[in-house]
Amino acid sequence: MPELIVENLQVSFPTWRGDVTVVNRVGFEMRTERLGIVGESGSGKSLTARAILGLIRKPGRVTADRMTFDGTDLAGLDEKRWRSIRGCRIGMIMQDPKYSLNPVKRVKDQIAEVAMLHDCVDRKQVHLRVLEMLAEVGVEDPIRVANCYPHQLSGGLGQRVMIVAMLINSPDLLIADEPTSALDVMVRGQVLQMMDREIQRRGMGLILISHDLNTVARYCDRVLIMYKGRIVETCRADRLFEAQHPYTRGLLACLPSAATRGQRLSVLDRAAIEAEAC
Amino acid sequence: MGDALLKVEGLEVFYTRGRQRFQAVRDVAFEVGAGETFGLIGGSGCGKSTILLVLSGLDAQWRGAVTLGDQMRRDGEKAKAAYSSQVQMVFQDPYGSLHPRHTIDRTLSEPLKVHGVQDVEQRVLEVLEQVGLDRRFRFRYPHQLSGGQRQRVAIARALLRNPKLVLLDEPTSALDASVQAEILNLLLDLKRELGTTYLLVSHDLGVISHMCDRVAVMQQGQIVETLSEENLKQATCTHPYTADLLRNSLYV
Repeated sequence: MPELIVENLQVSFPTWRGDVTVVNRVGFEMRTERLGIVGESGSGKSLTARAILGLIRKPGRVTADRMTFDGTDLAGLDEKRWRSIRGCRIGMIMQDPKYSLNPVKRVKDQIAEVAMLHDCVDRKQVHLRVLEMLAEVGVEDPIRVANCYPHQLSGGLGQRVMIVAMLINSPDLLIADEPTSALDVMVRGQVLQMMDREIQRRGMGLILISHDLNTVARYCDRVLIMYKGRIVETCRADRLFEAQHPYTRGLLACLPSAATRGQRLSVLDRAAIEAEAC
Repeated sequence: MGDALLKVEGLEVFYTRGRQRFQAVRDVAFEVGAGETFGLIGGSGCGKSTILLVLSGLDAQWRGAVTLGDQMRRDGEKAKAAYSSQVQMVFQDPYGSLHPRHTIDRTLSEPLKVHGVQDVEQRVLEVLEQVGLDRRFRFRYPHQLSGGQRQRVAIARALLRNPKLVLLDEPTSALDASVQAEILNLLLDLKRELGTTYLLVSHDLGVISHMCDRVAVMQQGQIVETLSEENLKQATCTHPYTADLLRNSLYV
């Protein structure tokens, strides 16, 4: 995968009290690897991903010293040139398939549309390819699913359809924004494993955004921990449980389990984190 | 564990639509002791929330028997005042379960006024304190509160009439891990203070093992296995579905 470089990324929104900076001086580089971004809601992890794809709408403002993908400067792209990147070289999977699939289009047409817009698949073969891909992501009866409308599918199937729509163009980088948090625990594992398998097989890069430390530790190589719009810590995923920053430690400590039974869970000491961050 | 506070026997729930009949709950039976925390766990659509709806008296399409304290209901019988005053429910989504155009004060006073309680104001202040909300939140609207604060209001509302049984339907699944810890702590504190019995529904095994004394595992409307606290700690179970569930929850 070509290199993605982000330096000093800032996203701010104007309010009547002045600008609020929601992503603050974020920078990272990645190649073919699985990068996780964790943080609580409002920490700016989703907006970072959206900024990389140029999906922040006005009046939001994005500035960066450098934001390049494969040598292309993402900051200065116009809408037309974005189209050759978005959905083609960088794909994105959103949280809830119910909201992000088109409700009045059959699944096969939605997936085919993505492929044909970018001319990545031969038009005559596109429907065949759709069925093939559905089978690849573990859909047992691809023909039935391909002819369904999104509301006829379960959450797990819906998310598989989303993933197929994003993978059909074989992008270099996949951004998954909480891909499984709308799903059942049982289905969650299956979808993540399938996604992981496909990414490894294609040698793609992955940015996995999640608030679940366990998920990220399992499916990523490297993890960025965000708090209040900043990256407070970067560590290897297998070392996540040895992380040092008080926020990360706090997040790890507040997870309930059989071992914590009968005890009070520790809660985040926000004052201490603020002190450390400044 | 004391005497059984809640006893559910042969509970069946089905929904009909035209000629189609869908059975959501099949022959479910369990007992919850006074002061116990009992858990229900299972995938989505397994009928765990449906059981709560029946117990809270919000559902009429059921068969079987439900005994809460000295009150017994049979076969879709409506809940009498003596029954409903003993049970309260906290819903999953704190954004959806509070009236957006009512202040917290109004949300909390209304049930008291309906039930003709004297000294409404004092009781409202009391429950706000119990759930750890500052007095200044009293005249705010739900959208001015964070998710955790809203869930605290929902818990305060459930406590207003001193129920014996509180039904918790995924009380923390819409919250961040850090806020979830605060709410779980609050629930444990309240239990210690008031001796309330909880029936907790969740799909998060971590939450269930942290909170519950016993847990029933549900699949397709049936309870396939009941696990004790010890079973949960050592992850021992006999039913293959439970094994799957434990494995998935531990390693995802």
